[in-house]
Formats: sequence, structure tokens, C-alpha cells
Amino acid sequence: MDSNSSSRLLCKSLPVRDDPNVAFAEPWEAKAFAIVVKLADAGRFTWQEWVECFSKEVAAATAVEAAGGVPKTYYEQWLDAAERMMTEKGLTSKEQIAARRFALGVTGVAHVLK
Amino acid sequence: MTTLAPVAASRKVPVTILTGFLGAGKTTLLNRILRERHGERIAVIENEFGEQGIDNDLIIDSGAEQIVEMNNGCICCTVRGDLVRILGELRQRRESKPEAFDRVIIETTGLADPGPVAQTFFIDEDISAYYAIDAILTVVDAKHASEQLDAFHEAQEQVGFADRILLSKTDLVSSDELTDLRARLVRINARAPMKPVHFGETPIADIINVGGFSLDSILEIEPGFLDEEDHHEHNDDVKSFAFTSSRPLDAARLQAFFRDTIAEHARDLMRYKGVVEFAGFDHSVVFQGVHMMMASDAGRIWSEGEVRESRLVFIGRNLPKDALLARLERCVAS
Repeated sequence: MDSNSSSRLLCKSLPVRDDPNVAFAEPWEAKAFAIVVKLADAGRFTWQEWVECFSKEVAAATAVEAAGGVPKTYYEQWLDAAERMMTEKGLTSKEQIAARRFALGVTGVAHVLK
Repeated sequence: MTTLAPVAASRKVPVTILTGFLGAGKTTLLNRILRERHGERIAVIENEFGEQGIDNDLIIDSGAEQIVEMNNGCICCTVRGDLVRILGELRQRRESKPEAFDRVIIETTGLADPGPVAQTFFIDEDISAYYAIDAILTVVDAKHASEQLDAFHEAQEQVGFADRILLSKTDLVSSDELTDLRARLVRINARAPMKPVHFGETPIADIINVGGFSLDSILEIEPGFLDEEDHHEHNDDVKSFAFTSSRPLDAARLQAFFRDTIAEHARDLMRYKGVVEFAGFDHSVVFQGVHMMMASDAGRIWSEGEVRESRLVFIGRNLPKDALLARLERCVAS
């Protein structure tokens, strides 16, 4: 990956979390984050498109919170936005995501064949 | 459908696991493959254990192949780590010299359980990122198979694990004996096609790009297997059974079924594979597994007017077939 272009992307819209010492609470969060940056970098979607897509998730979560509900965590929002973005761009499909989740739900992530 | 995974998978180095009982003719077959002019550069990992080794002189003369020998005893007990190490070394060699080899064949010992060998490719992250198992091939000696299957559970396991069965020495048995043996092998493994090999001679196409672990490959069940009754002379520990349904299955229930079945029987559940219709899905869903490692993906879209039959095949050791089938019956969507 071209480090210049990705760092430019990162600067543009790197999420700021409450605790600056904890960037990622779990490995999957880092993975989800990296996948989005990498795909944007590869030109699968523009960063602007991503920001718009992600904003909708954030807005939805904020609304849930405002209504007194328990909103999705930051990276759950990120992941759901990423799935939507990739589906919209034809990189994967809802069916494929659902189908892949089948094995994941059976064995857990450590035992899914890649 | 556009997906990212298959592109990455196709770049991985394909690996064939060649198993078979002592004296079945693995080495003959391997020498034959290496000698054939097929344009493939093959790295061989050989696990010598009381068997005649590869003819090194011959291989070196042919000049095109790389031979790496492993002499640390039995793969399944002690050298899974060695397999990781040796695959790592091969990777380094190929990274500095990409033309070093195109694929890898691992010849296991006659007594090896292919399970741990196969699992090495799924469990080790570095290995699974670089290599992908193409298939497990099992050479079965038509003349001695029956006795070997009676006497050694390893022989049954090798048949059970196979994506393809290569029948050697078929000229040494009568056609009746061969028919009986084939029927027995089908009961152990209903999804592995059988191909005869004659003095190690078989088309390279029978050996490579079999796609045994590919989710795209067709789920073949030997014709007649589903109608067979359960009364046979040989009661092998390793057996296969199939479940089919013309009504869609419930995804959540089937997921729970596999979660429970794997929790209870992972050690004995050697291979399983399915192409199923889930209620509410336009696509078929395909999955497969080895012990507790599992993969699933979206299959193709059902075509108009197609009979949407779900098919699942299980191969394992002393599995409670009737109980599992009864549970599967309850996975049919209501």
C-alpha cells in the first residue's frame, strides 16, 4: 500500500475515541478498520463515500442513544457500515455475509477455515 | 458474484496430501508423477517411515523437481511442527526464487492419520496464508485393502478423509472382489470418486486441481449410496451417511445442530460437507469441515424451476447416525 495515500486518508477522518490510549478493544476492530482503509486505498470506494456511509451508522446509533437505548459500539457501527459499503459496491453480498456467518456461528472465529 | 476471497485463495500454493496404506503404491505413483512431463514443478515433502523412499537419483536426473525429505518419524505424532517448519523453509525458498516450485505434495507414512496433517494447513496462520490444500488422495491396494481395513483403523481413516481414492493393483483381484471392495469403500466414504491407477500410472489430472477443499466443488455422492441398506459383512468404524431434504432448512437450527454435533463429536467427525437451501435465501449455502474447523460461503443462485435439494454428507468414526439424522430432520424449516 502506498503509505502516503493511506496516511492522508487516515488524517482526514480518523475516529477519535474517548480513551486515546485504547485504539482498539479487540483484534477484530483493528481488522475492520484496516479493511476499510485498505479498500479505500485500493480505489474500491472513495473516502468521501465512506464518510457518508459511516455517518449514517453514527447518526442511527446516536438516535438510539438519545431515545434511551443501548447503541452499538463504535466499531460495531464501523463494521455494519463497512458491510453496507462493500455490499453497495458489489464487493460482497448480503447472502455471502450471511452464508459466511454460518460457519462462524458454529465454530467461532478461531476455527473458521480461510 | 464478485468476491475477494477466491482471488487470494487462487494465489496460494496448492498442496496435495497423498496417503495410503503400507505398500499401496504411493511412492510408485509419486515417482510416476514426478517423471511425467506435465510442466508442473513439484516440491515433495516425504515422511519416510518404514517405506521405500523416493528414488532421489531419478528425481535429480529429471532436473525439474525439488525434493525435501523429512525423516523425523510419523507426521501425526511428532512432526506437525516439522511440517510447519519445512513448509516455512519452502516458502522462503520460493519467495527468493518464485520458479522453485508451483505446488507441494506431501507423502505421508502408511500409518499416518491425515487429520492432523490437514489441520496444520488450517490452524497455523502463516501456513494457511501461503498454502491451500487441494485435496487428500488415498491410494488403496485392491489386493490387500480388505484385510488392512479389518486390521487397522488408520486404513479406514485414510479412506474416510479422502477427496479421491486411487485404486491400485486392481489387476490382481477378480471383478467380484473389486465390486465388493468398491461397495465397502463407498460405505466408508460416499463422496470420494474412485480412480484406478495401474503401476502408478494415472493422468496428472486425476491428481492435481481436484479441489477437494474448495467450497465450489460439486458435492458428489456415489450413486446408489442413499438407497443402500445397513446390513453388511464388514462393520467398519468409519462410515459415511447422507441427509437430503427437498424442503428448505432453517439456518439457525442447522447452525445449532452443527454447534452441538461438533462439540460432542469433533474428534470422530472427520469430514463433512453440505450444499443446502435455507429458508429465505436466494442462494444455496455451501459449507464443509474437518473435525472442528469449518468454512461456509454463498453458493450459486438457485435457478428457476430447479429442484432445490439440500444435501449433507458426514464421514466419521462411530457416529450416532440415527440420532444425528433425527436431529437434522428437525432442522427442516417449518
